[in-house]
Amino acid sequence: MSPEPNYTVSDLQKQQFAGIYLLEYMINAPKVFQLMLEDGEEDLESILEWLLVRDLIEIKEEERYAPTQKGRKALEKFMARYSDFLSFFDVFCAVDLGAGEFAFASYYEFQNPEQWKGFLADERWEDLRIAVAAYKGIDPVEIVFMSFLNEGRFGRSETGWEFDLLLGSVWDEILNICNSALHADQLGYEDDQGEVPGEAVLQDVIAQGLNLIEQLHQHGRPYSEQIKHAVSDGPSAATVEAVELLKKRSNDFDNSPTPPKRWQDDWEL
Amino acid sequence: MNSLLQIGVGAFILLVLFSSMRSCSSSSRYGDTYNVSVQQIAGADAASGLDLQAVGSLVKQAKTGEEFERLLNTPSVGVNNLDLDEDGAVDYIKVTEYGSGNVKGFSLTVDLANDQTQEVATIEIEKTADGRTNVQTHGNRNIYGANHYYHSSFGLTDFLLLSWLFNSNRPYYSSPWGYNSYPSYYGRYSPSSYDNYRQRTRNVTSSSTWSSSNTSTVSSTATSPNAGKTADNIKAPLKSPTSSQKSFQARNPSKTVRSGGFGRTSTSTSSPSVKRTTSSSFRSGGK
Repeated sequence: MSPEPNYTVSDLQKQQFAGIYLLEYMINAPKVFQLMLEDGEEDLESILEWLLVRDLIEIKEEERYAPTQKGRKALEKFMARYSDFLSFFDVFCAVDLGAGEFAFASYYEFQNPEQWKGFLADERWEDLRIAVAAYKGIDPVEIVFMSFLNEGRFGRSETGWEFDLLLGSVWDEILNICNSALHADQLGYEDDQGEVPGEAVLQDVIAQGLNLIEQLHQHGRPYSEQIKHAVSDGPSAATVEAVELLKKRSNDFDNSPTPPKRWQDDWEL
Repeated sequence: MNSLLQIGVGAFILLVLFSSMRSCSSSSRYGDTYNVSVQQIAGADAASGLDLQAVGSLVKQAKTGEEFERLLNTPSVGVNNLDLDEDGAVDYIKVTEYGSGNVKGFSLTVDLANDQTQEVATIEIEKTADGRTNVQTHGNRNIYGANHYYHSSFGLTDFLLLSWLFNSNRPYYSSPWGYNSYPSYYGRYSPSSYDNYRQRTRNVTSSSTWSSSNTSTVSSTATSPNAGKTADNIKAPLKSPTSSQKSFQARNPSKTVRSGGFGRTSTSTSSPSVKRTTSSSFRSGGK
């Protein structure tokens, strides 16, 4: 029995994530930060400085910050990972470990989004995304951060979001999610046929999940509706949209304990 | 898409020229990049084409709903830079009044075809007991993202200017215009660059103080008559991001972990299969 996970997030990681967050804001919103930051934006100074020394943003006309080509590349990498998250990880968000079922197998049985959300809320489903990420050698903190960012859970409109980005309780929430999630060791069990290790359970879940993902792709993936409303027939020159990457990407995950190559760096931007 | 292509080619040519000029002069602390996005092509992002603080500030300048619509769509005023269908022309914004009692509102919509109406934003004005006027703009979720509000409190002078709004002895204004049917003051014109647009809206908002928030501060039960109207031929990228089907939540540690469904070779052979209903579902895929 390995020790329970204790995920942490270092100050450097926070800077990296916060930097990506601001890059996304500057490129996709698009938000323009003046060199003389406005009231309330002072808490972003260290993040902007961090981005500046790494050439991810630059100073234009001695009055404003603007993303560089390198900054756009960094955001593209992040969005590519987010599209992976949607196309691979999401199917593991609701798994019945007792019945051996995936909620997503029933995705097309529902007549409206509310019914589907209600189905997902059933107690029998376990969220195995953190366990799958950890097994694949992917930092769970990153995938929860991605999800938070895209759900707007860091916020951009309420007072003090700039402070929260580096020092707020949202990071505690992310770590609580990661540390309270099921991990591989908790999935093992013993029955009349003998012991089944947690890793074997997880490998089986991933193998079956991959099979289901393939079928969902053939039927029209669960994000078709979202994509239809989120983008046009091509990305604009200015934005970096995960959905564009989602439309184009073929799934190259497998059930080995290693991530695809694009997940193997540690954000050394 | 043709307009985007033209803009892209134009930007590229400008870039080449700019790059060649850089060898002669360098005024920037950092190297200039190829980055087209820095020039912020208007219309590339739906939300960047209509500054809701500027829209809210325009309310003060109008004496009627019709005049508000005219101000919104007058090129020289420059508050509207919206091109949702990316046809290279700024969209005409229609105004519809609604509300009752101490809360009056304007719904802003764009007709992108005869049967395609997109609500862009609402503005609600609340008269308070202490003689002030609270103004709130609320961006449409798809275009601006979730819970995109701006608030401002107008003083007595502005309240007097807005007194027409709370006059109950008048009909509510509902724009008579529509797709391919526009007033004479509106002619097709191209969106401005983002930088130019931002400069214009800065001038409009200079006389008002706006604060952003993610909740409504208006104690209103008024509902826009255009709430929920969405057009499906919008081309400019929207701000409602594609999101996971399920949000992450901390797991209840007391919940029992079920077992037995996975991990045995015998059970692994029965891979899950997607179930379909014969009736129409809400999905667009797979049809």
